[in-house]
Amino acid sequence: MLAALQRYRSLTIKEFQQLRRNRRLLIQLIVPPTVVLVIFGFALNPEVSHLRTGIVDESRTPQSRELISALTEIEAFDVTAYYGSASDAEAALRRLELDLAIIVPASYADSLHTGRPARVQVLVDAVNANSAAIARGYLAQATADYNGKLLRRRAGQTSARVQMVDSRAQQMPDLRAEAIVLYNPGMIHAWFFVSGVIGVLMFLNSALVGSAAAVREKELGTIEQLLMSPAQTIEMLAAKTTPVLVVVTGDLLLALLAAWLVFDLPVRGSLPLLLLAGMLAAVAGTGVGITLATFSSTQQQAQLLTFFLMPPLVLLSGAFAPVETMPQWLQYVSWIDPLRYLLVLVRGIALKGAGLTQLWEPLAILAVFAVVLYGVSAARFRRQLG
Amino acid sequence: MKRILAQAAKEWKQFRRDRMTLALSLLLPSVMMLLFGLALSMDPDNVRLAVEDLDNTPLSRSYLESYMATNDFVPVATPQGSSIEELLDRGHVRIGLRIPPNFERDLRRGVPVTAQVLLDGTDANTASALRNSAKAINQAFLRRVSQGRAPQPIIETHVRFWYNPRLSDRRFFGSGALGLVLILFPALLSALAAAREHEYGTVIQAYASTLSAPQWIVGKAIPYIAMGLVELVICFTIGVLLFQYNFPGDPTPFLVGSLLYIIVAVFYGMAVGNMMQAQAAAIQAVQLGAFLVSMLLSGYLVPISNVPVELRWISYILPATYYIDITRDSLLRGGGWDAVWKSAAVLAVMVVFFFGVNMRRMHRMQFSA
Repeated sequence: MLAALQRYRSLTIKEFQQLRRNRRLLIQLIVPPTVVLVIFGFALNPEVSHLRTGIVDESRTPQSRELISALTEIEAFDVTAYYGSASDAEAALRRLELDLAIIVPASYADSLHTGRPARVQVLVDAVNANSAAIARGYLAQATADYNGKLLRRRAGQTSARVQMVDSRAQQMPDLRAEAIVLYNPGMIHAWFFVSGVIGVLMFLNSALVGSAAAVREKELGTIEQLLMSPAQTIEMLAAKTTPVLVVVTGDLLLALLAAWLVFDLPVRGSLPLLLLAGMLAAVAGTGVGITLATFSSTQQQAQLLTFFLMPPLVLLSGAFAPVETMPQWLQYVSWIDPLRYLLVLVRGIALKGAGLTQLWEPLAILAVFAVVLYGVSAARFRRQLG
Repeated sequence: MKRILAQAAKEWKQFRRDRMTLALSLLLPSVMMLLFGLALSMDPDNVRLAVEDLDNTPLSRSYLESYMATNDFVPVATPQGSSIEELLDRGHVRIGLRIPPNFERDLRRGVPVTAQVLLDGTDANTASALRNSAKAINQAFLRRVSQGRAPQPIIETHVRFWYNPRLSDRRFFGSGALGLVLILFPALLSALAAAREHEYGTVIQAYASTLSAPQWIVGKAIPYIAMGLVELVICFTIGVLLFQYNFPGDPTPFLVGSLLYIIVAVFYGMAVGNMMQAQAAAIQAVQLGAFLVSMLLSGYLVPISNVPVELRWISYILPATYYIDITRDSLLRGGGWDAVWKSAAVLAVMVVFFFGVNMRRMHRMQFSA
């Protein structure tokens, strides 16, 4: 037992030294957590803003001008141009010079008094469905606000009406849906992506280091030397995994620090629990890396395989869009993605402040993944040695 | 010409021998296409909604039903002894609705009633979409129970959605996915091929032959351009089946743009391979340059106007930015050449530019070799 521990120790020292000498890999491990994280957080801002808005005021009355100023108070709308006719605005929309056009018809001011609602037309380039839907929400809100203002003003004009409106308001059902946003009341968009990227990087890095460490021995032919040594397969693997765990834990802390400094990302739950989740993911990732390495004879092949495997894992994990927004069958596929559980844990612990009572399920599943993936890699590695 | 074809034939033979890469380069574009088109929708539907109905009257149930009627939500009952907050903490739901006691009585009497909508804010984008739809449902329900007693609105905005009336996210991402897949694989294959020549030193043989630099470059590119076209056909078929690809207008910008884009991708990959001269490094460079950056900054995921100004110049030098512009226009708007000739022209300039980079590299290497 003591001899085994000693062998493990010296093998671990060897692995650390090898890792330190591999400059390119080290840079890969340290630069992404900071740079990629910040770029992701800044670049992936789905908040709809700066929609180029064109205005057509065919009515040209004080009333229509008031309406237009009410609608363009919406912050996301940038008024970029005024057009003389609806067809001009439509042409501009077609030339992609506009994202939306607000068209007030010539009859607007007159139709205000007919008793029927006066119609305002809005044309939206809906190719980006997300922006279009949000623009619709803003418009609905602004219209409702402006309607309320007009109604109150009209009610104020005749005192008799005031009485009527007031007595009606007494019996009018009044129902409000009060939205309470938990965990992120400031609605900071970056938190979602940044927490996702932290998980992705951890997993990717451990797979990368794992496969590099395993395949290099094969490439350089030093694997025969290892074979002749008294070390057991499991000792070799443990020694190969130790530096990965250390490096990836450091990565996680570095990434959390960067995210906190730049985006105020909190860690509301327990940091040790988060580190435990990170370690489990790192073990699973190393298992994937070593398994891929056993299928390849050169670093290049291993890298190519990693490269092909990772995008599906990342996309299905919910790092960029919540899993719930995927088609049902893809959601089922995502169950076999270990990264998915890691992200539930990272977001649960860091953002929601949840603990073991709430998160034992994903933690247990991640542990199972770690054991199974690592076991598979050990089996393949051993077979290769034999 | 004959030399070019001979070089192309040699390249093709070499490529065909590597069965694994060949299989991967036909299979993976389809997988990626599916994932990039389907997995990134921002539009939540069938979202699980935790329900706590503290009133439990016909009216409160009808209020609940109005949430389910939109197909946006699926109800999840909150178990005894648990709460919506608990389910949110566990991540079982993203949204919860709490209907207060005396909901029906107060509503009938005209006493103001507040229903709580609890949202998981970890994904701010989804949270604000869910909040908007909850508010809209609430408004519609209120209008129904008021039954015309509410004052008629004075103005009405009538919104018309052009090009995508059903606001389908799938068409948006599906048309953009083409831009990611078609730069990734052609560039990767040609980068590997070029780097391999350097790694094995076979590039010296090319120098020693009567082949001129442009002949070598074009000959080497042809098989990968052909491969890219095959991938285009595969991806387009998937697009037709899953993402409702069709041409509302003139299809020629799409065809010309796709050809130019694939050529850009192949030349770009070759330039990377010639510069890195090692396959492992070339893979990484393509992964970073062609894939990650294109995915983030080309307008595929979020509009370029959302990219911070300091990063936006990167968007403007990415080929994917211009190609995605062309695909979205051709497949969704049908604006024809008027709308996209600029993007097509930029792609043509990029073809020339990357060809030039390869020429320069070849010349310089010839001197150093």
